[in-house]
Amino acid sequence: MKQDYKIIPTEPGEIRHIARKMRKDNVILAMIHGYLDQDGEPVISYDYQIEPGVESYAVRGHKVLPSISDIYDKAAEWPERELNELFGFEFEGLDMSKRLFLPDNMLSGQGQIIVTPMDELIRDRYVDKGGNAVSSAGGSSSSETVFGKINDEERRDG
Amino acid sequence: MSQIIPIGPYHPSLEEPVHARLVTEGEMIKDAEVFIGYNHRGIEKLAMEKNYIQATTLVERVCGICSHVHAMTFCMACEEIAGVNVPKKAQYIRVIIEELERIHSHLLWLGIALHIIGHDSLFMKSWADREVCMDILEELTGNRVNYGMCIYGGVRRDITKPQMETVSKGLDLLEESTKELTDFILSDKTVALKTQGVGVLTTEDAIRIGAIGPHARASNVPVDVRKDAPHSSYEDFDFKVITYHTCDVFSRAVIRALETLESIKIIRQAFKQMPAGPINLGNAIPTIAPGEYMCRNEAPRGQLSYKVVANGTDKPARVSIHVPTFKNAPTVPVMLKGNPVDAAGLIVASIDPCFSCMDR
Repeated sequence: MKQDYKIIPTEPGEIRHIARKMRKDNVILAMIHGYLDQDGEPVISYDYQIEPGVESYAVRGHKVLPSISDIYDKAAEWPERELNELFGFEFEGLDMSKRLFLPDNMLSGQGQIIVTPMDELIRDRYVDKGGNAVSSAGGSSSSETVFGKINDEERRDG
Repeated sequence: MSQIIPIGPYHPSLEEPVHARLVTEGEMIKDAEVFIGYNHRGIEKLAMEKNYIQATTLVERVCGICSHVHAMTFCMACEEIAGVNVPKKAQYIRVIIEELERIHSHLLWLGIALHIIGHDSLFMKSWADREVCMDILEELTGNRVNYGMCIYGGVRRDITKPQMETVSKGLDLLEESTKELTDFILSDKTVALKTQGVGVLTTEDAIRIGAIGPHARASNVPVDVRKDAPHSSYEDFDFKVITYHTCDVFSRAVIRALETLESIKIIRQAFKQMPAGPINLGNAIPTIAPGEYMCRNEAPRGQLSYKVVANGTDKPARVSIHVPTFKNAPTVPVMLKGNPVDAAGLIVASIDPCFSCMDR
């Protein structure tokens, strides 16, 4: 059987409304993910378990979104804090008085964990040394090349 | 007068680094906070620097106990993006290894919990049983951990008839021994005194906070990816989703003992119904086109999810890993409240935490 996965483009203003509706229907929030899409735009996706699949409400092009931690409690608070501390996304209304990953008063976090803010990722992966945008997102060769190499080696080895 | 007791990040009673602050009044815990990140290795970022073949090996190292399920879920996500149909036999072999991994993880947890409550004879029995499971895994994969069994498009090794016979004998031993262990847990006075009514997580709290896996099932929440969203032919097997109603540490022990027996049942069915055919795609592995997919799997500690974003190159553009402990750890402060300080170690351990997984 296949696990369905449906991506639904969403606007920031709809996030809290969707969360409230899902909570009311006892739908589990599987996870909140943050990443860059193929055009280098930041994406935050809210993945809800509508069994046997997942509906992913994806907001593109925004680095600041309203928090849903008051609706989904820790199930949303921890992923939001993770996305804030490790990737630099911001969530309005999220309690950021303390760090989740390494508390402030013990270790700063600098050098202890790999922090990859979105700005840095965009610069590394989508802008060349001359400051010009590049069209291809990350990676230096196509998957065809790599798998082709493996296939060639396997054929050669017999 | 309230006092704050810090535990960790490095503490003699902790196997892995985590930091907790307990707010106490006398002997009783009034509030608690948990902080993570002390074992962060940046595996998600590293995976973006590796090609898909290398990344499979890398993600298998997220955890030393549930390594197969990490590699399997990553491969499942990549296969879905690429539109690959994994051969049926490979799916069955993946299920067998996943269930063996669940057995060894559950027996490991039962041993640790019994050791914490001071019942070392049962701890040694549980770990002796686990050795049988580790031997089976070594027989099938060549390794005791980090099995290297799962590859993009299938599995690396077949399971032969003589191997099935050897494993079946091991399963007979395990089944008999686990039944004994379950009887001990259900009837032993020490276990009852130390675990019943301790670290209660009500069904309402479990749902509100988003607990998953055996931890949620021990709070009477029937969630299991293998039943709710079956994959890898799980729909072919007859097994029960075990739930228990006491919502305490005792409940968590009972769940894991009974789930071990269900896993043995699944493996036996997989051997009996094992289809013929290839175990992987050989040289016909297709490229991974741009796309994204989130795949879920029932790891020993609960739902594991991998979101993979592919951009058409040889490297994933994003590998987002979310592990059961990340969902279950926020329940710890709720469970600690109202319990004496000396129960804190057992309550933290009762979620079967894996900080290696959580920090990844």
